[in-house]
Amino acid sequence: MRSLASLTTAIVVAGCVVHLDLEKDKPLHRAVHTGERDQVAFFYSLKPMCEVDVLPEITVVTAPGHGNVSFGNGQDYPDYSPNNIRYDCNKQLVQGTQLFYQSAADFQGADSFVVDVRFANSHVRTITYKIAVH
Amino acid sequence: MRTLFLLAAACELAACVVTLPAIVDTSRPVPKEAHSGENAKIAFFVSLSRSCRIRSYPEVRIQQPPLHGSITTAVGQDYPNYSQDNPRYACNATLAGSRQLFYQSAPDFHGDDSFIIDVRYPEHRHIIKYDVEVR
Repeated sequence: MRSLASLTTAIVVAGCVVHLDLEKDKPLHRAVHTGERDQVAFFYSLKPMCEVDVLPEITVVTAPGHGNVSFGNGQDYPDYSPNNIRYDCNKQLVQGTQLFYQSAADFQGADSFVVDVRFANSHVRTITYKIAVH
Repeated sequence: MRTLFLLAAACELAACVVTLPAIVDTSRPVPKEAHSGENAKIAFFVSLSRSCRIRSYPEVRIQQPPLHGSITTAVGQDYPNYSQDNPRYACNATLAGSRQLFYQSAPDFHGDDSFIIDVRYPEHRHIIKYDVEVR
């Protein structure tokens, strides 16, 4: 335990950047209208003064069973948490990558799909979307 | 901490080998994604003082090379990402000198690759495994 404490102290002193705890994201739930093309997510990667760092890249890992996904560059408001130095960027529109879902015409029920999103430094998030189509 | 510095100084004078404490993260690989043949930036490492001055460019040693590509490092600049409870949090607003890590797959390789590196900071080491999905 003492070694662990010493090691932790060493890390804090060194001030290194630690990339840990990258568990797979939990499924995200969205509700859309049938046949309508809806934005289900907006991804961004900004520098501290809110300039674009990179435009995140989306890859469809598992396509939806009852519709299709598409993506493209667009603008939206970011959603940084208060403990992020970019929190003030939430007040302005920024450039990013929009993710859209559109169900088959007249389909109603549950659908899902999986995407990989690649951010700066090749960081990747695998996200499952559960879509309720009404 | 003072003891650590004294020990390091004594060892330097005596030309002995200092064994830095290590954090080993190989059981939890960091997932990354790269395009085939692309020289992809995978990570960067910084070591700053509380006043945001650079302490060193962390050294990166390859502990286990990738099977389907190569890794290189370069000195560069990046915005750090210290957590809010770190006294260096304010440093996140400024570009800092960094050691950058790049991965490049063999041409036309598609699939999974992985490698392990040993990052050496002034007071400790961090052993990290990366899993790269090459598309």
